[in-house]
Amino acid sequence: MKKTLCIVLLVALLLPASLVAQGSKESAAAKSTVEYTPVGTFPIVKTPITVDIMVAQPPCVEDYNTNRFTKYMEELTGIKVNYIMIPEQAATEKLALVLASGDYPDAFLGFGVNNTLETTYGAQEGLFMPLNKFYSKEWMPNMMKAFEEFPGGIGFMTNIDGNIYSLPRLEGCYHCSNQAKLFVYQPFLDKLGMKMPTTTDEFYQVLKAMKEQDANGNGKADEIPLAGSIIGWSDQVERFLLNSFIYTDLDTNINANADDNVGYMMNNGKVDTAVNKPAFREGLAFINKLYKEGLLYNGSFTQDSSQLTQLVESSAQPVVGFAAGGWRGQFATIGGERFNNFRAIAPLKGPKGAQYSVAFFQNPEIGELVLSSDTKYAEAIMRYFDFMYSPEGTLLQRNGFKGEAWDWAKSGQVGLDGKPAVWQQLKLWNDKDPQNDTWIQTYTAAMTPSLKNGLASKPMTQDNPEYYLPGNNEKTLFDETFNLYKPYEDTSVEVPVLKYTAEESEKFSTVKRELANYIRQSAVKFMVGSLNVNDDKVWNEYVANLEKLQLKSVLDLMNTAYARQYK
Amino acid sequence: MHYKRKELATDRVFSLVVNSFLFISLVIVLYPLLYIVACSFSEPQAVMAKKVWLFPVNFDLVSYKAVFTNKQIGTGYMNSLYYMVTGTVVSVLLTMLLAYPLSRKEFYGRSVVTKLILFTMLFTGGTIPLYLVVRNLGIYDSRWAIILPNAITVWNVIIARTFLQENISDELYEAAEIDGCSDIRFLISFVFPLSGAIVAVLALFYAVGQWNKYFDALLYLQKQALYPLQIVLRNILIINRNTPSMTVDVEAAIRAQGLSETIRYAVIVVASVPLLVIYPFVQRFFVKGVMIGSVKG
Repeated sequence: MKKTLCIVLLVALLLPASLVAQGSKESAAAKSTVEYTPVGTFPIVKTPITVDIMVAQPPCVEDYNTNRFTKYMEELTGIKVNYIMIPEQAATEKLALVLASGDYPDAFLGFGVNNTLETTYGAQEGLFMPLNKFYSKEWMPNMMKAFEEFPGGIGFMTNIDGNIYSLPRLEGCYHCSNQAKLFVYQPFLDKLGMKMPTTTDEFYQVLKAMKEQDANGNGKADEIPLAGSIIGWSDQVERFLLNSFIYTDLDTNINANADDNVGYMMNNGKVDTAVNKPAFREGLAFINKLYKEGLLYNGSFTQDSSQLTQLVESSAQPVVGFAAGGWRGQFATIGGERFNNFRAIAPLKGPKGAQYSVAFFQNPEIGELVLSSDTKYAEAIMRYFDFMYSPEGTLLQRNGFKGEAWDWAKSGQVGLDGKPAVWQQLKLWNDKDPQNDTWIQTYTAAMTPSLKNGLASKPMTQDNPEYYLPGNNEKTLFDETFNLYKPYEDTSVEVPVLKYTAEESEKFSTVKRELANYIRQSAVKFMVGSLNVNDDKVWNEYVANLEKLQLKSVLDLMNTAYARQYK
Repeated sequence: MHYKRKELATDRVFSLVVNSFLFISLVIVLYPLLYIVACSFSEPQAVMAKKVWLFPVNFDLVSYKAVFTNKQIGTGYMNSLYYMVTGTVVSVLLTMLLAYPLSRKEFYGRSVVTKLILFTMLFTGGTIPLYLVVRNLGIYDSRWAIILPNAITVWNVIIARTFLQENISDELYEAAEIDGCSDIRFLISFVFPLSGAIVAVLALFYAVGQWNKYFDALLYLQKQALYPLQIVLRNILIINRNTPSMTVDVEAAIRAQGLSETIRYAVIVVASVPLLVIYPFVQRFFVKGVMIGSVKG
């Protein structure tokens, strides 16, 4: 009786599954050999072919298969791509799952496959195809031309085993290269009759004056002279301030990457760290002084950027004097009165003369397109994507159709950098509304510095009332970066990206994570005073703990990697 | 007389204390919910400036507009309802079919089966093996991929088994058996009708679980037409986040900066309403006694 019941139930369970299983069996179509046209001509293939590419789909693109840019590419190249879309958020998991299942598409687009994954799936398991052959003018002339504007870019793409496994996203964001910026609410300075501070001493005086002399004139002592947040795009005040004492590339957000922004720096050709130096301690002591005296908002080390925005915007009268961020939109309502009145200030000169702007290298983004090692269409796919690295291909992919969304510049138009413009924008770039005209977010494209800064802009000076409005944001950011931050950048102090072997990464991943967490936590504790930065005993203990957490071995490892790559 | 009046006074004090305690608890639980609803109906700039505390400020439907103008929201809703209803029916049925044999003492191999089931509570194969199973069963990228894997929650099986053990007495089974009732007949005619309470509990648990399902859909679904509401809502949140992108449409950026604040509240409301509607209908089963009168003496 029970046995029959069991069998009946089992059958009932398995029946629908087996029915579905039969339906989804794919027939393996016999693939014929492909006939190509000469490189540089279109279409790419003499008879149309179809390739499968799995793509991480951002919400702003409705459907890659019916997208107008996809159709354009199909007509141009003769290659029909069957895009298999998966939600962008699941890209990392999905890649691992698909590679484990053994049923691969021809290529993966937009998965942001990082160095470690390339080592695992490419160098070790051989699931990704090495693309070295295609990194040449004969195969990908457009991409190679774009690489000329990214010196060292190809070395950056190269895995530790000497192979290149992916195509990059090339984007030169000029203002991002000095993103640790500080802004001041100009009306406060005007009201107090003070100049833009240039040294840490003057900065301290301005902060004090803002607090004590009622900078907003409402009769209440509600001013917050300086504020930042710990989660947000360069919203941390210390990212800017510590560089008046010693070159410090430190992100105190505990969730930040354990390899970058941990305070490592180049010191006489060797990788060193700022975080155990006396000058670093002085910087922390300075911030601690601001914190103790109530000049630095005490929520700066706990809030995120939307809370910082609330702080700046919520009061009837403006209260925040200085705010840190990558741009003004990090802490103010874009286009609001406060947004329009914040001005960037240059790095401050410290008591010992240090004055740096941290350099953020504009490296290619690795792993945007990887090929399965068993694809038969490598040449076709490479040439298909090479077109997207041309200025025309990039703008078609990113902005839309020529004549509708953009056009080449007219003679006499001036670019962001003051040189003759290359192109003009007819429709504003918008990734906030789902659409099906373009790909909006570029995966394989080259927004080179010359193209980016070649955007036609209205020539205007800072006296023009429209200069600080959001419509001119691109130009404002360029000018601020060029005039105020670039002069204080020293790229030779910043540690270039280092690559590790599989064993090295495995051996040191925990060590680096623990060390980074300790450095970040301690820096915040010193700044808010829960560790007394002025107490030698506490400081020495901190330095000793760094050693216990194997700071020296980590630096040795980095030096080994540095010597391997750059000497 | 005197004694009695004193009783009443303490009673009154007691009920006053209890009621005020309950009232405070109510406020603590209710306030965040009201706040969310109020924010979702407010103007984004007002929410950003922290002006909302209980009632909507500058009543504005812009957040809901952003949610409901999304082309996928309709299919997402229907899909989620489908997964919830079908998934709940399948899950409750399977759970009961598993729990009932385990509740009978004379079921041979009961402890072994129980232990095997418990084992899965502590150890799982992991994401990749599960993915391979789903693929090789041929249910990948179909609605079954959302309904069948994890259809049975061990915890719910244990709850159901315990309930059946305590409420379906051996005497009842013996009486039925003497009258010539088969196992399946007993299951259909006695166990299910007498398990209204536990079925309601299981249904609620499974329905909430299905409704909130997000990660399974991300992994096992590819066709956009099959996406449940949660993925659609997540996409709406992502598209409206404030990104420091360049050469942007300023109007869109301003809208998104404000919307990124309020839209999450609208999304919470949109996602919770169906469950809030269902809950009162299921809740009455929780308090109702079901076993009254089935065994006498």
